[in-house]
Amino acid sequence: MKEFETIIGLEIHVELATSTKLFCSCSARFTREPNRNCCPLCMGMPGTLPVLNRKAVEYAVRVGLALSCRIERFSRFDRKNYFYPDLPKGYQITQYEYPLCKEGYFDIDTPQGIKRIGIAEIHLEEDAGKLIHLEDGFSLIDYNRAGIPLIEIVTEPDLRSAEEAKIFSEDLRNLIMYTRASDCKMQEGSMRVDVNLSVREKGTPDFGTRTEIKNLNSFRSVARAIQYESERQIRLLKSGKNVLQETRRWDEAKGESVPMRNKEDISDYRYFKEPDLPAIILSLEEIESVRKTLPSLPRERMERYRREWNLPWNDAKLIASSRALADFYEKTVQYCRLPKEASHWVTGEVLKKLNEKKLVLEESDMDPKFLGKLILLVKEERLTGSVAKKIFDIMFDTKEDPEKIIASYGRITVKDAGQLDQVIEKVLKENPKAVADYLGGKKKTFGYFMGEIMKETNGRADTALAKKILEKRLAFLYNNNNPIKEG
Amino acid sequence: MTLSNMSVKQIGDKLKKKEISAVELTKVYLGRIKKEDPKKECFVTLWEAKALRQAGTFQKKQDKNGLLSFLAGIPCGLQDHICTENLSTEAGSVILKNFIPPYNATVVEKILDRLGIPLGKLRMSEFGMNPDPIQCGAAQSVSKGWTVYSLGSDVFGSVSIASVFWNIAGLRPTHGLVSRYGLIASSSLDQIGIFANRVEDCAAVLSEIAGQDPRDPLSASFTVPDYTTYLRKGVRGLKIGFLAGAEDDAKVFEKQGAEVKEVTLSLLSYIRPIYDILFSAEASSALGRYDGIKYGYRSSHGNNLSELYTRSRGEAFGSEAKKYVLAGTHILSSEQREIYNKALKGRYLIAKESEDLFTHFDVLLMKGNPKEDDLCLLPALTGMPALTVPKGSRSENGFYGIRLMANRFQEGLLFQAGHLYRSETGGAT
Repeated sequence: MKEFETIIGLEIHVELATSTKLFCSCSARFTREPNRNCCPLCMGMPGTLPVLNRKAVEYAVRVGLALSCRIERFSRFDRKNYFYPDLPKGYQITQYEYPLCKEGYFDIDTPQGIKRIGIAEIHLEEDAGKLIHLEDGFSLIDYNRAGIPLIEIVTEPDLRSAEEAKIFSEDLRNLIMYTRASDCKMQEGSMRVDVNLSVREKGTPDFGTRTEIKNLNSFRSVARAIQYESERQIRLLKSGKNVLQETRRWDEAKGESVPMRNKEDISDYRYFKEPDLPAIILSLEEIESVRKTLPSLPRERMERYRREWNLPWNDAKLIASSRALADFYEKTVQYCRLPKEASHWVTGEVLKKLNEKKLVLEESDMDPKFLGKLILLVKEERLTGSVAKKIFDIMFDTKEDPEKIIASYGRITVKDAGQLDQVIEKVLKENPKAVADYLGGKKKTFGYFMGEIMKETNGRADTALAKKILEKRLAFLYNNNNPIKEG
Repeated sequence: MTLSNMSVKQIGDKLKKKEISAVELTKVYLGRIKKEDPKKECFVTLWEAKALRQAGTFQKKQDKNGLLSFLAGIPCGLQDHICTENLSTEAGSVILKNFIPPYNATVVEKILDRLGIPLGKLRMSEFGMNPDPIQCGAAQSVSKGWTVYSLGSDVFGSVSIASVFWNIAGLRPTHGLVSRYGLIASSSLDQIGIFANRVEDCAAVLSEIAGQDPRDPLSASFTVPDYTTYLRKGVRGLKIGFLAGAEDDAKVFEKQGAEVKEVTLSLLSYIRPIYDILFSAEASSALGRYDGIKYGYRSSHGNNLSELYTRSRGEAFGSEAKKYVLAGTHILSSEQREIYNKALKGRYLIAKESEDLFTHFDVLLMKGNPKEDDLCLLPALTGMPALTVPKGSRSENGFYGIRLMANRFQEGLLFQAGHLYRSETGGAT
């Protein structure tokens, strides 16, 4: 029985999060109002000239550096000529011969361990507009997207399975969001993945004929499309047929890919140097100054969390996957000095709450210092875990200091002195050794009693009142030198 | 002295002294145009009301601030591929029928800011691709005395050819000196040019329209001088290289103290094929935006997308445009790539040879020619400036004046030599 392996390379288009477009000063922000962000240049009107947005170069360089690419000190633009109504000038300005970034790599975590995926190049280009096909056969064009800066990240054919491709795409997305070069919103089309796939008999050196699959707008479709296409090609080869070199379109609803155009239809794009734009020349200083804007990246952070703070792999990976989450986590640790506890909170309650409220961390306005404080309160046994969770819920909504919440929370609940007295009596009775310690001079035990009282009352005891009564009780015991006997 | 013979400066003086008002002046020019060009063969659009309004504005501002610029109050013309905001700009092509750009070319903005008075838009061949001087409304308008100066463009050497044909002065500035924003170009070789009766007018106009433009990424950061200060510097001590055929003209300079020497260009025979290849390639791409979708002409016979494209372009492009689109598409195809790459290399070598030449000479002198020749394409390939100077007296037949070239940004030298030539050959100064 022949065994086949699947060879996958990805081409990932990412819209850069610049405030303006690549070659004009139109807003690059997403808007639902058609043709709102348009000017003569992005409408392809004659006589207009492209002026390069240097911010886009900076963002692309950021991604290039994050992917360990060589940043080219000389790169330039080319024209890719073809006709389509969403392409206002009849050509796309892209980088063909001299891309901005080359020869990088990205390490991903596969179930078999870390795998290095080569990045062939990253080039800068402008996006096209969007066609809206109406049911009556007419089509409308929205040029809002035309001219938005894109980077195209081209991988080496190093991926071998749907799972690897999915992990790569997800990790890449996290990495790019780290650099703040893009928001990578797949549903808004700011990240698009094309798959190049071929299969070959295991052990043979040559690649088979490859197909390209487009229209993948979720990581799930990337994985499904690869699975489908890989099986389709293997089936063809096993039955003695050939794979045709073609571009296929993924139909998510049907769960299959259908041919879009074959090799004969592939147009000759007549690439040539864009004569209206000067080359992009970058100095080493410029590249280094961009490097300085990069934060510590996911892998580095993840390894640090594991090494220095002993976090389990899953937690470290999860926290490091988002810059905001990792920053939040680190700030929490900075305050409470309890990395393990902080990681439990961040991967547990924090994420749960964000999910529930459908918020991202940046939107939640949570103060890591307050979470740190809450963690310390639990550590000091002034709160039980379950109470702390309740406090957290309130804290999430009110953004208040947990101490303040506890104070007000306590007052409205158990401030009945009689009830508290009973609880305290019970606590003292159940902990004769601690009482003896206290009476013997170990004043620290006071905190322990307070913790026990909180536990008994589910944290609902009024701290000040409880303290007062406890002091009274202990003083009474001390004065009478009458330790409570067992039984 | 009649108005039609006056220079930019002379008219400026009259305006300053209030011997004539800008409104009167504009009326004289408009009247002449309406009388002598009734079928709008030269002025495809005449902006009567707008021009008079601008003249009125000029007068009001003049009373407050005096004359501010060489161009203030001066009637001029714009070739129809220079974009004018909210005013028809068709570039001589049916495909841009009724195209009204929502923006001004930078040169138009400069003229308007300086209270110059554009009278309207001038006829041209389709995208200026045919250098037939008869079709060059910008040169014609100046020659006929319908404008004091006009802006056109240099495609296939048209500035030089038309200037000689219409016996006026014409300047193609250094690439990057005058913003190309708003010029409907078919290639990056196209450049805005200045037509005027005199060399000194070209100098005055260039001083005002040149300068770096943030909207043109290839415009150069260069401090623009007052080019009129070069006019009377003479040529003493200048080194002038001349090409065969310009011996008599060289003597004019030699008599005034220039060092003259005959030179040859070894790559001369490559100039035209290289220009043709680069121009066609770029034009095939630049004209891709005219697809019948967004603006301009759209065929009513397109039943599907591909038919809409082929019909719109097929029906509206003229033979020149079609020729270059076809040639360029072929040249850029992956099979023929080598041709394009070789042309780029050739262009580099030609530019290099010219640069080397200008390490030994200040100015290159050649004979004027009212027809296409290879040399008229040299400025476009090298990015260097060229000035065509009519002989001072118009009466002589068969004597076409001269063409001068200098190194990049050396327009001053051209004005120095050109002005001297004109006065030495009996021209009004």
